[in-house]
Amino acid sequence: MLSSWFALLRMEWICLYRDRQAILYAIVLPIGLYPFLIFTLMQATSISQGLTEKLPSRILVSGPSWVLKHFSSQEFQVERTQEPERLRVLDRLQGGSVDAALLSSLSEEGHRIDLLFDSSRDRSIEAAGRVSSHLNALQRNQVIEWLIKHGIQEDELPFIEDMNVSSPRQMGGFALSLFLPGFLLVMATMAVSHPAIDITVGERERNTWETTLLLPVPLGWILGTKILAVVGMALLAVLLNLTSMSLSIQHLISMFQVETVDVIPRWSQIILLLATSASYALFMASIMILVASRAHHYSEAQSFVAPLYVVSMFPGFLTTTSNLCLDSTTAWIPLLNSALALKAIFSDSLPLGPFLIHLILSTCLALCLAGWACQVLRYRPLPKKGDS
Amino acid sequence: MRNGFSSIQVSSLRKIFPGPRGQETEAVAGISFSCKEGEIYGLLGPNGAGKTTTLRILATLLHPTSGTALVHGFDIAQESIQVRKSLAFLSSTTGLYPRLTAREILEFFGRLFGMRGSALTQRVEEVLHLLDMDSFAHVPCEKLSTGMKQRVSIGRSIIHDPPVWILDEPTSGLDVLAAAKTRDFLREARNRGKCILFSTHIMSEAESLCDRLGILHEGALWAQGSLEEIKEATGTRHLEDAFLHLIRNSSEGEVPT
Repeated sequence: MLSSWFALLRMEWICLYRDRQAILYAIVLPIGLYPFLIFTLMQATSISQGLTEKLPSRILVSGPSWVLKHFSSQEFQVERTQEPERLRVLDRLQGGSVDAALLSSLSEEGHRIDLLFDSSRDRSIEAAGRVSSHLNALQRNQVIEWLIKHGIQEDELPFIEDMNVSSPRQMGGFALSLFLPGFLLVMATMAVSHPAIDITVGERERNTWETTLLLPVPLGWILGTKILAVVGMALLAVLLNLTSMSLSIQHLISMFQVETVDVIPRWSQIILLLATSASYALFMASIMILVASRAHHYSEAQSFVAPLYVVSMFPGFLTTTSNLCLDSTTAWIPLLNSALALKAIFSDSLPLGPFLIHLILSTCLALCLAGWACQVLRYRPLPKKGDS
Repeated sequence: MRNGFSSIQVSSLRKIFPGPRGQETEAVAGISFSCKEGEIYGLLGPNGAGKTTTLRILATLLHPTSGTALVHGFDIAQESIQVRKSLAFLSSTTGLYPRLTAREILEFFGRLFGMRGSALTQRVEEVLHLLDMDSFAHVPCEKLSTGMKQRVSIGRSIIHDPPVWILDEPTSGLDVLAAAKTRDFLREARNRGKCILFSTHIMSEAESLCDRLGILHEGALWAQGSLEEIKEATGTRHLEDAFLHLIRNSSEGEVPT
């Protein structure tokens, strides 16, 4: 019995791994394309950031001359104006001829300085940052001068220093948890999509479905093996993706000489990641088989499953953009719980109870869907009316 | 074979396909026939007669609406796995896995039919040699010609040396040479005691191969017997004339014999 099962699984894997499209999604893309894209993106970002940092900030200053002397460094290109019209200044900021404006005025509350900038332009954001840090330094110096004037010596002033207490591993985990959950889920979805279509409409188009049904084993075995092969494909994609991503990021870190970040996951994390990915892949594979089995031909099936890519992106997007975490409530929301579990695994903050809820729920749901998919596939090969 | 039955025993087999808006199509209308060891039984009929549905039911790919059928003594509804182990089924809808080679397909099916180790290797070599497939045994099936694919399909279906062969238009799409080879192969199999049920709409093929024939039209069996018996019953000299006679009679509302 077991040897028949292995023979079925082996055949499915051989067929999948001789399929160029499956290889592209499960092996080539995870190994090559995504690390390449990240690397290119990081390089482009750092080049663009570097260019912005090199350029002087063009600021418009109105007010007393002591303000001006603080902005005389090479970082700034200062333009002084005596009678600023606020509307004209705003026009110039939005038009991009100046990057920031410092407008000084006297009101009932005292001396007031407004910092104006345009947050839709990188150069303006950079200028605002530079001006703010100069103003902060100015304020600090004023406080020190005032304290000394009132009899407190400079060496008695408190020394304030920021200290990051997270370990390199925690920092690495945090960095990975920001974007990798979404990536892994999308990769798993892409890896299951082609085989899911291939074993449904693909088999029917190639006329191999009846051949398979002639095998002297229960239908459940055949279908179970097919789904298992698809899940195996997804797990391979996840594992390869994780490895190549971690190595790429580690390489980038060493390039930027940031030594306080360790992004290589531990074995225990990898096992948990694979468990979560397996339940997710089983879930997605079953849904895709269900959806694809309704199609009449391959390209129709592709368009049927396309919306599922968007669905798979959404949980990853939510984990990146919100403060949601895996807890006893979110653990009950399918797909989102997988993304949050991955995030928690990466950031080493996995709550055991919600994780078990997520794992059991996802697996049970996936098995129910797989059972449904089996039922659908069982009746699909029946010929249409009049076909004899 | 169990209980001394004919290798194929079909009784009042009926298949109704549900259609849209509650309409139903009766593809097989309660047919009965049998086929013994060392015999070739041909099911003849025009397109849509119910030949493929009948063969699919016998191969356990479809459930009958009513009636029974035994293949090598096993009930098709109750003992489907035993039935599949006892038969070779080949049709235009039993394709080959395109990414596997001929040898891999034979090994895969052999393993699933319970063969192991040297017995499997020996049987695979035997079938490759028997069907003259040695030269392309290592080529993926997607790269083979139609004739080569048909040989691999035959090899796939007989790898476990089953006693019953069910073939749906086995020479369809083959050139003259490949079709003649296939017919020779079927004759040899009959001589080795195999029970062969096959469908065709090529009259000459049926005449040259079949020991007994059944003429199927609109799901009903209009005549069955040896070639001579059918010609005598219809008062014709050729099978084609007998076939046309029966089909025309059926259109005029006569009852099947």
